[in-house]
Amino acid sequence: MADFPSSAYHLPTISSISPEAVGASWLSGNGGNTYNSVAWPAANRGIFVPFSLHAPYWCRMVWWANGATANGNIDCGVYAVGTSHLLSAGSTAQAGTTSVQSVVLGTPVLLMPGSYYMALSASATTVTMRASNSSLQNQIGVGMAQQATVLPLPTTVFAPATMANAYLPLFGISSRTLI
Amino acid sequence: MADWAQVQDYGNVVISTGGLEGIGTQLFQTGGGLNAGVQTWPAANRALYIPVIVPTTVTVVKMFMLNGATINGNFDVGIYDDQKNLIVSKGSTAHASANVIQAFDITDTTLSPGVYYFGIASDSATATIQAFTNAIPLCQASGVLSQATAFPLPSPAVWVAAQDAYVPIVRATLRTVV
Repeated sequence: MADFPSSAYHLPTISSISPEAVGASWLSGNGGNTYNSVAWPAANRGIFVPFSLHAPYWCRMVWWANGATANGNIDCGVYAVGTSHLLSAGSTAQAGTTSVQSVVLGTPVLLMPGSYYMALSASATTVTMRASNSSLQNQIGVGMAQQATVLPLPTTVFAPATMANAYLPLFGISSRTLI
Repeated sequence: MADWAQVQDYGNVVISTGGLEGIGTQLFQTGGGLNAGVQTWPAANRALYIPVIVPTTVTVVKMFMLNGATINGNFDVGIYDDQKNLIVSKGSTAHASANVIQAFDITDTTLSPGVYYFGIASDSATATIQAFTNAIPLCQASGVLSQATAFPLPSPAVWVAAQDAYVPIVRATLRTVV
């Protein structure tokens, strides 16, 4: 163990494609993407994107990038790998098209260095998000996973299943309360 | 002393909004893999703020940007802490010389490790510099902030969510030679 704190920091906004998440791996396997409006692949499905923190991070807000059609309900949260639910917005009506929607947490949550999943779930296939629906195999390859029937996101350990559809939504967490 | 060798990120001699220490990965990805090009400044007197990480203590001596073909008006560049306080800025400076790097010789400023925001503002709506033009929600998702009527750069900043599909590539260097 180090005797002194390390000088490690994270940018205020961590997204599903940040370097802390699948950014570099996804980029090397699949290149840049356009993240257009894409329909949610299955009602009540949750999509889990791994990310890691090398420094403490105050999570004050979760957010997601809505597509061209706002419909149904959304939940967004964070799980620790191998353990339990840490935070989530709760089921939230999707509002606003082609814009970022955010929910400020009632109480900020301090995430310590470690491995996590950020999770996004939606109630209907009429929901649209800015997402990449390119290359299912690369999405499996970077560690993404899914779970059925998870709206709202469960406050228990999540049970990862293999991705069935290529769908990498743009969403994440923030240490700010302004996106 | 540590019991084991520690991996220490010493950063680079140039800190860039478009680098790994900035938001380059996200911008490149959501921009369809396209690199930053030369783009027209989005609105007169607009200030834009882009987060960057400084991994170790550094002394910044200059900031710079890449000009496009259209030279117009004035620019200001500076650095803010994450509490919106202006640490250093150049002040209003004429936009000068097409298609080359324009450097701003700021007061030498020591930055401790942490999160900062590079600020840039212009009083022109026609000046061109190197920038990404990802859609507004994609800029917001990358952490970009904005402010209207903010030329020269104000202290403190009054941040609002990004209003433009525009993320300038602004760099700071630790050496006097750009």
